[in-house]
This record gives sequence, structure tokens and C-alpha cells, in this order.
Amino acid sequence: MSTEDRKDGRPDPDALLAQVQQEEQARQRGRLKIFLGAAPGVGKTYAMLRYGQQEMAKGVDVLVGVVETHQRSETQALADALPALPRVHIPYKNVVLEEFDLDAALARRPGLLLLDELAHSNAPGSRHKKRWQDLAELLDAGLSVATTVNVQHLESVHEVVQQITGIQVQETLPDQIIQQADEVILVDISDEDLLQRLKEGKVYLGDRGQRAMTHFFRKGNLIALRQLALRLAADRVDLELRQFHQQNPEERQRSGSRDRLLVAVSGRPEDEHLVRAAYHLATAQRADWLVIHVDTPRGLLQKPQTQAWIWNHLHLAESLGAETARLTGVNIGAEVLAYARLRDVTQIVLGQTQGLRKFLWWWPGSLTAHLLNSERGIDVVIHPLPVKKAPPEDRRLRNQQYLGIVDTPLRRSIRNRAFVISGAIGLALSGLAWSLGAYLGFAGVFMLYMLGAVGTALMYGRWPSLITFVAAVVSYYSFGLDRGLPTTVGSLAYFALILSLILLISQLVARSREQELMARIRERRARNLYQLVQALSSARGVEGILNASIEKLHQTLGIAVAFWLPLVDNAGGPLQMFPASTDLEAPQRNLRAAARWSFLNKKNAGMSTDTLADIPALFMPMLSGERALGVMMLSDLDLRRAPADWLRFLETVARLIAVALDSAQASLQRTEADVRLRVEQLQNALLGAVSHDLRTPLAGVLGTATTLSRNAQGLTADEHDLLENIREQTQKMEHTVDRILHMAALQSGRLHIKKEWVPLEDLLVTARDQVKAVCADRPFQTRISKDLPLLLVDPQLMVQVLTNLLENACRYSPSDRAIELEAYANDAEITVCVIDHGFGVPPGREEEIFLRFSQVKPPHGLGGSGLGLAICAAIIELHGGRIWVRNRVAVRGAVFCFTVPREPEPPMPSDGD
Amino acid sequence: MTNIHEGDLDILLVEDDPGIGGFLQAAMDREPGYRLYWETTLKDAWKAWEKRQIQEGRPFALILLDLGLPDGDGQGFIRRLRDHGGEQALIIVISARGGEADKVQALDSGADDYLTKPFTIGELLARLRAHLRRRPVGSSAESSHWVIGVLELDDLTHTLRKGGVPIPMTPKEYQLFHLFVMNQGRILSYRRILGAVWGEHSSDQAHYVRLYIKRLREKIEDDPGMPQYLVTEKGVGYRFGNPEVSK
Repeated sequence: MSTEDRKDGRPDPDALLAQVQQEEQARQRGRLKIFLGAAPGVGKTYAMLRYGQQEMAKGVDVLVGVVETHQRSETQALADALPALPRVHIPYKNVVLEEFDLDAALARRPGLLLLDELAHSNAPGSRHKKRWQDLAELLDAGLSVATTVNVQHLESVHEVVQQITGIQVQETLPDQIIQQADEVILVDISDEDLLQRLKEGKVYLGDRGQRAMTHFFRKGNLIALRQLALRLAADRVDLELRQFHQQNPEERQRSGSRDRLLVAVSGRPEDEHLVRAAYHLATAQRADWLVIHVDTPRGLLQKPQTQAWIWNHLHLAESLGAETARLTGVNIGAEVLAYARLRDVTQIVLGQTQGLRKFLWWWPGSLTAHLLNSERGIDVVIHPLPVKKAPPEDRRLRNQQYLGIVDTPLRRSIRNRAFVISGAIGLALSGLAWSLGAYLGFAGVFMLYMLGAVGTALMYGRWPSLITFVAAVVSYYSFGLDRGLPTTVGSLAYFALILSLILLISQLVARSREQELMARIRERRARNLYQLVQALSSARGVEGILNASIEKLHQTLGIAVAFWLPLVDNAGGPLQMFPASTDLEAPQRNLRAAARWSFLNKKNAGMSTDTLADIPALFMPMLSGERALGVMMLSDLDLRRAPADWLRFLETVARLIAVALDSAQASLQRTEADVRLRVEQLQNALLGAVSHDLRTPLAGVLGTATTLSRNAQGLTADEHDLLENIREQTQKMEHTVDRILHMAALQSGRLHIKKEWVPLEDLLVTARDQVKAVCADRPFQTRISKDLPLLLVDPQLMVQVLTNLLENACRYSPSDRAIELEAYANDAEITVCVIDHGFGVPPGREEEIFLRFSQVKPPHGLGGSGLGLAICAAIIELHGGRIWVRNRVAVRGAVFCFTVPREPEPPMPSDGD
Repeated sequence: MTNIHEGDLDILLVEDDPGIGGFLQAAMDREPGYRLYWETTLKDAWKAWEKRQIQEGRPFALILLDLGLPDGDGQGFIRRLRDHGGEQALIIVISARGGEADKVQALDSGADDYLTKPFTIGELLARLRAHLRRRPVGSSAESSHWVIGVLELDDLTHTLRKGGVPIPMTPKEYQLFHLFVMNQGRILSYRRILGAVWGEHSSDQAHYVRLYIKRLREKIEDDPGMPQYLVTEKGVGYRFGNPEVSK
């Protein structure tokens, strides 16, 4: 496979797109600088600290996240000169481990963070298993980081390192980290120098395994490691050069469309080698690579171990930089090909097992055969694979329950019984044949066996039917039933033919039974989803939906589900668990943290993921569109050991619940708005009716009284006074009704104020007109400053305020004393004061009198409704102003003042002069 | 019913409340010069109107109309009257509705005036006198010289005198004052005033009107704080009142 120059010389659109995406991501992501070394002791940490100091000298806010100086004096001196983040202490078993404090670093947001030993594994209980995952989160948060890496930790080479040095490397790093780094600095010293430093005791070898480490530092090893590091650095430089060429096409001498490799992995352990091989191929060819797995219906019946391997392979591929996908299909070959064509794959890598299976590659139906026979445009590479023995099954695994498909103690006992019964049937058939052989004849006996084999195949499947068959045949011979039968070659061949036929038929029956079982599982899965959808659609409200989900998931999958949701009115606040649980008290903080992480990052977290894997539950965000509405928590669920389609199934479930929640919340909001509207309508109708029903009879009373008193010829003076009394009381009552209605309108909070620009004088004229009756011929003085701006207020309401204040002033002061009004403005507000010469406000009651139904007893028994000032206060508050009262200094009387905010003046009318 | 005189003014009252209808009937019967005909539904009122208008050719000069009637809203009735020969009729709405919007709406439908329940019979009579004073309609439109209280307006020379002293006015002030004089006793809504003086496009600039009214009051009123001529109709607009008539 070769890369072909594009004739038109235009850049490859795929490459351009990738570059744009990379740049966009880089703009938000922090910068990553890696100091790469071949082995411990080459001076990576030293180099990183030096770099940190240089940056600090430039004014960058440098912070040491974690640095291991191992008491080397030069390094220690460098580290001491930089501000360092305190480490977090994590108790683990009997010791307390010191770890890098990720949250503190995220909160502190330094300009550059120094993070030593990237391959470090975090203490159990930390958020991420590995420090490089901390790094990813830091970069995502936009922090720039410098870090150190030893080459042997890289995922792609660690196998090689193991072979060269014979030392198991525990901690590995995905190669992607190197590829994503903005800069990679190779810290290199010759192997001679390194050995010299080792002799001088300048290299820290760790607390344990001194001897192993010494073994590690053999010259041969060091040369090999150094070569690896140099090659990696060279690859990296090469990559940079290519990127440079892509960005500057005029300088490009040679380019081509990118190759794309595809690897299909199965659940076989040896496919891990295939992934690594593909990685090396892809890197060597500078190709993109895809790793896929095709789930077939049969895959549903696979063992948990197989699932774990598939998971493992895809994970490994991802950490090596591959794009991974899981497809579903009946025919693996066709599915792989279709995907390869869709993604413009140029090369498919297949594994060739050593051992027996390697002779079967041509077997019709095998992937290899399918690809070789049908594809012409895609190269197929066959890579030899060693046979890898699967490690013995995890004991815990056996205790897992998966839908009753995969091993459970119950199923195993059923299966064992099936084997026993099948064997017994075989024997019984032989017994029958022995007793009836004379009547049945040779053909009849075999028909009998065939019946038995097919029967057990139908009942128990493939293997039990085989057992029946074998038991029958073995007993047939051991019982000596074959005596008297011809033993010629011809009859033996005939005999073998019959046996094969029985075998074939029983296997066919067994297969159809298997397929039926698979169909049943699929149907059950579909039915589960359907039931869930039904339950969700009939559930009422958020709580109903969650309860229905919990119940259905428990019923169908047998797993315990809980939910974490933000509070309705506080989407950014803490998550609340539903149902609120009491038996989770201690670890609840952990659960909350995991739920929050999953909620914010919209990714799965917890068990069987890379984030907070220690927490014994899986967290799945419930996404509706791009929005996370909450997190679904599945207790004790390890997806790596669950059936293949569970992840997708659960993700679908999470999505369904999210959509249901979304619509429930939307309808809740609609209902609220609806109710509000109705209440408003009702209140308005009520106010209107009350207003009408109270005023109309008053109008009748008042009208009648005034009519009578107009034609007073026939009335005595007393009667005239009585009529006058009726008139007065009626008007007072009308007044009170007015105020109550007004207060009700204000109280309902739905009074829509309509602000207009008004001169104060205009309002005052109206107000004085309203208080004519109470104030009569009272002297009135105004002191309105000449340049008083227009007020932006609701004229009706503001007239009400002035009316109430003037009325009070008249009521609570002797009738010959003047009422004064003063108005002035500053930059912020306009102040209006009504001043009387009355009795003032009882000291200490200055605030109380603005409350409803509070009044000071007026001197002439002219009590008001007790609402006047409360109405004023409510109106002024609506306008964003203040209202208060004080007694006058030196003389008697009260001063009621209010303010309204001063607004920029409106356009003034232009006079046509 | 009292004796019918030739010069009596026929009033049609449309009111469903017996209390109010009763006292109005009693009050008007006692007042010389008025005759009240009381109907309780819009349907009957319309019949009475048609009978007088078409058969007898003596239309009602004044209609007192309640807005909330059992068989419909009075506003439609106003429009119907105005469209069917009732252009000249004086329509005064009486209603317990106190809202600004109701008043404005009634005035826009074609009502001349508005009285909010409860009101005294004296208030009603004062309104009637004020309106009848400027009757017959049309006379003031043809005239070019008016005397209202101490004010004297000459439209030919565009001069206003108060007690014989000329009052200087800007053109817009004069225009506004002239509008009020032409519509004595009528409530003029902000919208109407804006439309007439500043043009239809400025209908949301009610503060123009307020500012000019303030200036006019300062020029013509004895006490601008208690105006006698340019009276505020709360929440609706202004009315030009003649202090002599109101008393």
C-alpha cells in the first residue's frame, strides 16, 4: 500500500478538517509540554523545573503540582524556588498516601502546572486511576501543564520493553498523550553518563526492587530504551514537519491522502496482539486506524469473559489512538466490509491464529475467507497471532447474574442436570433397543436413536444431544446389541452414514433452537424497552417517571437503579439522590462526586469506566439533546462482564428517561403558567364583580339621598341632617370600598404598572381634586423646584399616593393650618414631601403606620380605612422608590416623603414658534 | 308623569339597576325642563329610540347609558346609535366601572361624557347643564369669538384675553386651547388631543399634552393648582369647563 500524490496538489479535506478541529480544541485546551526520557535518572525532572523557573521569570504563574525530587540536592533547590501545591492525603489500608490534589489545582488555575511522573497510578479512592487522566482533565479545563514521561511506560512500547529488559512494566500511558502534546522535549544523556550517575548514587531507584532496578540498568537495556526514546522523538518531529507542510501547502514537497487501517477484533485474548500490531503498522504508515467489533446475535450468548476481552481490546486501541466502534450485524464479514467502505478504509488487518484454527481460515463463513473472496479495492493484511491462553475465570464473575443468559449457579445446575438426563436417555434408548431390537430391526433402532438425539437437542441444545447420541452408541456396542449384524465394509459405511445423519440432524435442530433463544432474548430486550416507554409515558410528573424507571429496570434487568437530579430551581446546584437512601450514608459523598462528574462531563463514570472506577456503581448521564438532565446510577454493575448489548441498551434507557423528564418538566412549567393565568383571570373577574356589586347599591343610596335633599321643602331640619348623614356615610363607604379594591389589586402582585412621563403639577391637580371634600378650602402651599424633571411613573397610582398623603394631612391637622408640598430632585431620585401642621406621628410608630390596617386615631373621629399609607407604600415600592415619615423639628406636624428614581428625560415636544 | 311642555328635554335612561333607575326617575321628574324615559334593556332602549327617531321624528336629545346591561354591553349600543341617526345625540355613560380603559373605550366609541357611580344628582345636573350650554351643536364651530368666564378668545386674530389683558401664547398652545374651546364640556382623551395638535404619529407621547396643559394652566388659571377651566379627567384626559356653568 502506498500513498499516492494528489494530482491537483490541493490539501486533503479530511486532513484540513482534522487540523481545524485540532486547532479549535487547542484554543480552549491548555498547552502540554512533555519532557521525555529513556530511563529514570536522565534529568527530566531537573529539566522541567528549569523550564518552570524560566517561565516564572517571564511572569507566568508557575505552580508545582507534584515533583519527586528524591532528595537530590540540585533538583530540590530548583523545586524549592517554585511555589508548590500542598498534597492531598489519602488513607489507604494502614498508610497515608500523598497524592496530587487535582481539585485544588483546578481551583487555583495556575498559568503553568508542573506534574512529575505522568505514568503514576493514583492511590485507590482518587478520582482517576492514573495521573495522566488527571492531566487530561487539567488540559480540558484550559490549564497548561509540563510533565515528565519515561519511554518504557508508553502503551505501544511497553511490551517491547518487557521483552528487552525482562521487567514487567506496571504503569502504562496511552501514546495519544505524546501525540496531543504541544511540545515534546527529549532529555537525553549517553548510556555511559547514565551508568556513571548510577554509580555515584545520583539515580533514585525506588524503595523496593533495588536489585530489579539494577538489573534494569544494564548497558544493553539502556541502549535499547534510548533507541526507543529517540525514535519516538523522531516520529514526533516527523509529525510536526508533516503538520507544518499541511498548513503551508506551498512548502509541501510530498503529500498524499491518508491511509486508513481497519482491524476487527473478537473476544479472543490473542487479539490484543492484533491491536498492537495494527498500531505499529498505522504509525509506520502514518495512517489513521479504526478498531471495531461486530456484535452478532450469537454474541448475546457469549461468556462474560469474552465480553471482558472485547472491552479490553477496544479500550487498548483507544488508548493507542485508534478510533473504535461497536457494530451489530448478523454476518461479521459483510458488516466489516460495509463499514470499511463507508470509512474509506484502505487496508484491513486480520489476525491469523497459530494452532489448529489456522488451517480453517478458508472455511466458508470465516471472516478471512469472506474478505479475501469479496473485496478487491481494499488490501488485506494477515498478521500471525500467538495462541494466548485466557486466564482462568475470575471467581467473582461466576456470581454475576446476567439476564439468566450467562452462567448463574441456577443455570449451571440445570445444565448439569441436562447432561445427566441426556446421558440417561441415551442409555434408556439402548435398553429399549435391546428389548425391542428384534421387532424394530437395524433401521428401526437407529430411527429410535435419532428420535432421542433430536429430542434432547430440542430440549437442551447441542451438547446434551451429542451426549445422548454418544451414550446411546457406546451402550449399543457395550450391550452387544450389534451382535448378529453384518460386519462387512459396506454395512459399516452404512452404519457410519446413519450416525453422521443423526449427528447432523440433531445439530441442526440444536442450532435452530439456539436461534430461537436468541430471537427470544432480542424480543425480550425490545419488550423491555417498550414496557419502559409505556411506563414512562403513563407516569405523571418527575417523581412518577423516576419511580417507573426504577421499577421497570429492576423487573427486567434485576439491577438496582437510583437517580441523581439537580433541584428544579437550581440547575447548577448540588445533585439530589432519588430515591433518597439511608443505607448509603458513608459512601454517599463519593457517589455524589461521581454523579456530579458524570453530570458535568456528560460521560459515564464509576465502575467499569476510567473515572472513579473504585466506586461500586456505574453512573450514566441522562442526555436530552446536548443537555444533561440528571445521572442514572446503576449499583454493582460491571459492564465489562455484562452482555454485549447492555451498554447500548442502558444508554438508550437513559436517553428515554431524559426525554420523558424533559417533557414532564416542560409540561410542569406549562401547567404553572396555565394556573397562573387562570388565577389572574379569576382574580380580575372577582375584583370586577366585587367592585360592581358594591358600588351599584351605593350609587342607589347616594342618588336617592341627594335627590331627597335637593327638594327639601317638605323636610324638617332634622330630617335634612339625617339625609346629609346618609350622604356622608355613603361616600365614606365608597371610599373604603375603593381602597380595599385597590389594595387587593396591589396585593395580588399582578397590577401592571404603566409608566408615563408626567409633570408633578399635573398629578397634584388631580390629587387635590380628589381630596376636595376632605380638605375643603384648606390653604395649600407648594414649593416645587423650577427645574424639577418629569416623573416616570404610573400616573393613576401616583395620584393615589398624593391623594392619600394629602387626605391624611388634612385629616390629622387643624382645618385652618396650611398643607405644604415640597419637591426637589438630585441626580438619582426625585423627592416629594407633604408637610402638615398637625399632631405628628407618635414616636416609635414611624414604620408601623405603613402597615395595613394600622392607623393613628384622628382627632375628629374621622377614621380612615387604615389602608391609605399601606397603599402608598406598596405603590412606591412598585416604582422602586422609598417612603418614610418624620415629625417636624421645633414645630408640630408630620412630614411624609417619598422618592421615585430619576430617569433620563424623554424627548420634549418642539414648539412650532 | 308631570305635565309635558314644549321645550322640555327628553332623556332616555338605559339602566338595569332598579335602585339607580328609581332615584334618577324621581329626581328628573322633580327637575323642571327634563323628561326621563327609562328602559332596562338595550333591546327596549333601541326600540324606544327607533320609535322616537323614525315614527315621531323627535329624537332623544340625551341618553344616559349604563355599560353593563343584561342583554349586552353598552359600547356596541353607542356605536349603533351613532351610525343610525344619533350623531347629534348627547350620550353620557354612567357606570360603576372605574377603570381608565373602560372610560377611554366608551369615549372612543362615541360617548360624550362619563360619570362613575356613585354620583350625586347635583353632579349629573351640572354635567347636563354644561353640555346643553354649548347646544345646539355646530354653533360654536361657526363662531370665531368666544367668551368663557373671564376668558375671551378671538379666532380671527388668534388672541386670548383674560379680563381684557392679552395673554401671549405659542402657536401650539393656541392650537391646544382652541381645541378645548371648540369642545367645551367634552372630555378629550390624550389620544384625541395628541392626534389633533401633534398629529397621529405622536399618539404615545402623552407627556406633550401634560406639559402643555401645565403651561396653559399657568397662563390662564387663577390658581394653577386648582384649575377652573382646564379640568383633569382622571386617567382619561381633560375637559374644558366653564366655571360659571358648573356652579
